[in-house]
Amino acid sequence: MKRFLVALGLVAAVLFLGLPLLGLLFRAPWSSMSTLLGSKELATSLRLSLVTSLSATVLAVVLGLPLAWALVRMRNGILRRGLLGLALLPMVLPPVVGGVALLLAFGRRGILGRLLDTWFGVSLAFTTAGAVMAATFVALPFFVLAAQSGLRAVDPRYIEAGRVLGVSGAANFARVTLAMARPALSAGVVVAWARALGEFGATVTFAGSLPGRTRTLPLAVYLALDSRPEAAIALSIVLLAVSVAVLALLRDRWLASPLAPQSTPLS
Amino acid sequence: MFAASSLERVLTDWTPRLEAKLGVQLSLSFGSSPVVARQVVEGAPADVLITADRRSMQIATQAAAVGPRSVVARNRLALVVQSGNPDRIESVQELARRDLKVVLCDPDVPCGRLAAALLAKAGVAVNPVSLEENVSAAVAKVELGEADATIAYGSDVHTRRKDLAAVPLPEAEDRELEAVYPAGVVTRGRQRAAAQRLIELLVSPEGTAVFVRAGFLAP
Repeated sequence: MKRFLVALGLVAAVLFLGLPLLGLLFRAPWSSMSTLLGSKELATSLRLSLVTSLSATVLAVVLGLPLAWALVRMRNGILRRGLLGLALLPMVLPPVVGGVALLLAFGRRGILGRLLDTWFGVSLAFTTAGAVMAATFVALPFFVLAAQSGLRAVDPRYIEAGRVLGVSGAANFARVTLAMARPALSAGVVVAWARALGEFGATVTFAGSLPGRTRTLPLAVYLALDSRPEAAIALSIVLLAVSVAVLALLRDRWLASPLAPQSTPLS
Repeated sequence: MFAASSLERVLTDWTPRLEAKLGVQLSLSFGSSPVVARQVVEGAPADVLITADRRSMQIATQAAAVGPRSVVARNRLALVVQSGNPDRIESVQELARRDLKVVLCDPDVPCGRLAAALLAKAGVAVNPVSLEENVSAAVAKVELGEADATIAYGSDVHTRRKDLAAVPLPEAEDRELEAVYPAGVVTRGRQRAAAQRLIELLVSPEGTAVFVRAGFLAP
């Protein structure tokens, strides 16, 4: 009985996840695919998507690593819980709301954006930097969550051993702590990047949609759906292929299989 | 009733009275015109379809998903700025100013197609900071203060928008540049009789008065 229920659930899950993929592939305009793939629209939005999602991933690591480290080291008091809630908020916030929140902070009339505008004449909305910010905002929690669990799992005795062996604090952190947490950190990088690549709501709200500047691939798909559904399907397939390719590449190149049990680094 | 998103406010406000008159319960679903038209073609449970352009309606009529149509209203383009017009934008020509942030609808959707035609007719070259997917998103950018101006519909500035103002746009007084709202009964709908009565109500003088009060033009 138990085995039957598992099998039933498995079939349902596979169908649920697989059928939309099949739908995309069946409805794809294969005959006109080469024209659609050679279009300037695709090249522009794909390049922009790669630039913004990769920049957002780098930012998520730069901002997320200290945050994750602080969460690991802090006592589990109200301060830590508040910080954790803040770090994870973009995960539960609808991205469109995130976009509005970004506007209210960094927009021309926003808390900080107003100062940026009057002091430096800098405005982030409608810029590629704004699209990167939107993607970072939604991707950051995914990295923090993964990094936090990875860093927490590092046995303090290894860090202590490094200290006894005379390794300086920074080097110890880099060569022991980060090295041991690498599988989890890598997994965090990958999910953060995937989230950034697929980002739509916060971007369209905060950064708008201009070809070559802020219209990333998901935005191009959404717009094309209005009047050129074939182009939308073609763009979606490209987005799908890029994600699969990059994930496969990352996995082979420098992911020490994040899903496998952690290796013992001192061996 | 599946309708173009620019009708959302007027139809939502109107619904209780329409329901009382027709003795049926109305459910409304909004989206950009080509999207709602395609939903009806793909078999969405609709009885009435109203789009903001004839081109989108053709998607449904060519698939024989919608019967005869009647135009229920028109909408004229409007130059929308922040309330009080802080940037002193007096005409559409000024949208070419380098110091302005202008958002437009993308030419793929009706409001963008009409706006592009208007700008071409006026001979104005605009460098928009964003090309939005629907008219509400374009107006929202101005409302939030992020953009200085956009070209939307008269009905967008007409009601309840205290953060917005309209600049006179004589160039828009041209039948060719007006949005047209055709309505039709969905052929596979389950309430075709009620749908027909609903459309008759929308095109009646009483219905036209409601549209005009909401900033639309009479059909």
